[in-house]
Amino acid sequence: MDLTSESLVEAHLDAVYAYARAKLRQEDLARELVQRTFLKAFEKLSQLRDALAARGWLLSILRHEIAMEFRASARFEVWDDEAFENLPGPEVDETVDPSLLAALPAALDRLPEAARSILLLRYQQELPYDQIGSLLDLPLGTVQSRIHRAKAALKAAMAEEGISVKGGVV
Amino acid sequence: MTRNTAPTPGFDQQLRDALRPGAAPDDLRRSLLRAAGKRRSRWTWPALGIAALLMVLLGGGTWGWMVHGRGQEGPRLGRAAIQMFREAPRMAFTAEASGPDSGEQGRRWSAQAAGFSAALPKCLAGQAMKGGCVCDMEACRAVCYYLQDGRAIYVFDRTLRGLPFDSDQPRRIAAEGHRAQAWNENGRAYVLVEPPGWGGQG
Repeated sequence: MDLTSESLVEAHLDAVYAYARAKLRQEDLARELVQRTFLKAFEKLSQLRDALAARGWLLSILRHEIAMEFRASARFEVWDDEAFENLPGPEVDETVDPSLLAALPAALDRLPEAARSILLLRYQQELPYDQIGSLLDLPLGTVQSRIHRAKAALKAAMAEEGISVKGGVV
Repeated sequence: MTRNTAPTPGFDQQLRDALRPGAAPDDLRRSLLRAAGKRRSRWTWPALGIAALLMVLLGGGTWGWMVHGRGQEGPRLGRAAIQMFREAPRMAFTAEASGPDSGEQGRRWSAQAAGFSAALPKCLAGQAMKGGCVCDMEACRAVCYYLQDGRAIYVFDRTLRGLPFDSDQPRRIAAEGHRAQAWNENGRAYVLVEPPGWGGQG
């Protein structure tokens, strides 16, 4: 498939914008950085060999732009192992009451930046583990355990928001 | 703990559903598609190369002319910006804030009016502006901001060929008694036009 700049916009703009919006929480800045991301991607399109990796490639450009924007800030995505150490992992197949999912964005906002990022990459962008590993420069096992811990942190944040996550079938 | 009669999806699926991306803003999509339409596909350049080789083999000087023309895009639009500055088009936007906030106000206005977010370049960060307007030059869209100090900065919706990416060493353009500096920065081209006799730091 011959990937064109137009097809890149059509296929990935919604997802890339959603990621930027969720990461930055500021609409104007999200628009600005997404625009920069795509303009740079257009210039470098010949470097993209695999159309299936386009989403991860665009997100890596966007993450670079975000890092440049916040380079003076130390708050950008530091994974604090200690903060996650004592959280229990979520049970397999556990669910939350669907009516309570509306409060999920607020709970997600309470998470540390690194945990939010990895959950967005996995569940919003639906990237496979290996692509998340490439993006975050992490080995596969670390990606899996961090997603596991981030979900546990989300569960704890939801509990604080008054939402209880029930094990097994609800 | 209660058991629902209807099966519920696992937490992973619930997360996917809850985080599913919505649609990006239409004006952002239009702006990017417009920029994308101006770029060539990866096969166009090899095709142009073959065409050029054929032209050279046929003894034509057309290729040289084409390369020269493309390389002159930045300076040519720089001169067009000077011409537009001289014609002094009416401001479509007037800054309500008087200080550095006016730059942010302009950026927000440009996203709506021009379809792309035109921020001031780094060297003019915090500069107060009077207002601005949207201009179309050749196939490019630009936002013109009139600065309080009498200069104007044209922000194009993409980079322009033939301009440096180093804002410290811009391309200098002179036309009609006016001077301008032009460069590419962060995916945009900037042309800073000075009126005749402008004595500030350029």
